[in-house]
Amino acid sequence: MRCTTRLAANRLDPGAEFAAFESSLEDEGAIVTFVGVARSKSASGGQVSNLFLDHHPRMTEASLTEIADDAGRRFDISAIRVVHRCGDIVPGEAIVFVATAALHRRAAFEAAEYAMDRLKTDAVFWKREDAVDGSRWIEPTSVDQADRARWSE
Amino acid sequence: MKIRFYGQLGEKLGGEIDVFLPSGTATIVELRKMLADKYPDAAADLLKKSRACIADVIVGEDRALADAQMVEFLPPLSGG
Repeated sequence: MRCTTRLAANRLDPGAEFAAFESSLEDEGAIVTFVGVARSKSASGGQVSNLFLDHHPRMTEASLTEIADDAGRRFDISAIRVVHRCGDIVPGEAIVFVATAALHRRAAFEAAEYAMDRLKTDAVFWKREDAVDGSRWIEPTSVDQADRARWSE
Repeated sequence: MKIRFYGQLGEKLGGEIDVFLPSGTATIVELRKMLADKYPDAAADLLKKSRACIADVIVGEDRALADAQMVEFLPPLSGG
């Protein structure tokens, strides 16, 4: 299983990430990609001007690798690529890119969903949303926790 | 000793600080109490909500500080 992860301090280009991922493949019949994008509205409806993702200099990247490796162990995929932004992100910019490849679609879909559910709760980030109605530090929602719990063994 | 904070704690207290460990501050739990006294605005986060970390490993409350170069305090994760 080929696993590539990267913490990106600068703009993430999903098209370039897909091209790099696709060029590394051999004879897979299924590729699934997911791109998470910074929203322009906060949970309370305020206009968001900036999202800041604080990270740990080593543990954050290690958490991305652990999650991608776990997806590879759990599902029958041949490759996974996870790229996650850190630092300041403006609405409309990509925050995360996940791609999986497998011989057949089911494993590719499930591995991508699993990786995203883990990333939303277990990735080592501290996220602050700066909106017109103030700044707030964000913790995983009950929906995020329930999504993560689906994969508990 | 160097102490590093992340997330909301980092915003409140500054990312990295140097502290002198007074006698009686030899473990994580004692360090938490010392920092909470020093930074009362962040006491609740320091005492209850954050995990302590030495050399990239989460450590327990009785972990000794003697051989540690740095202690990091990690607030609850936001996820990605």
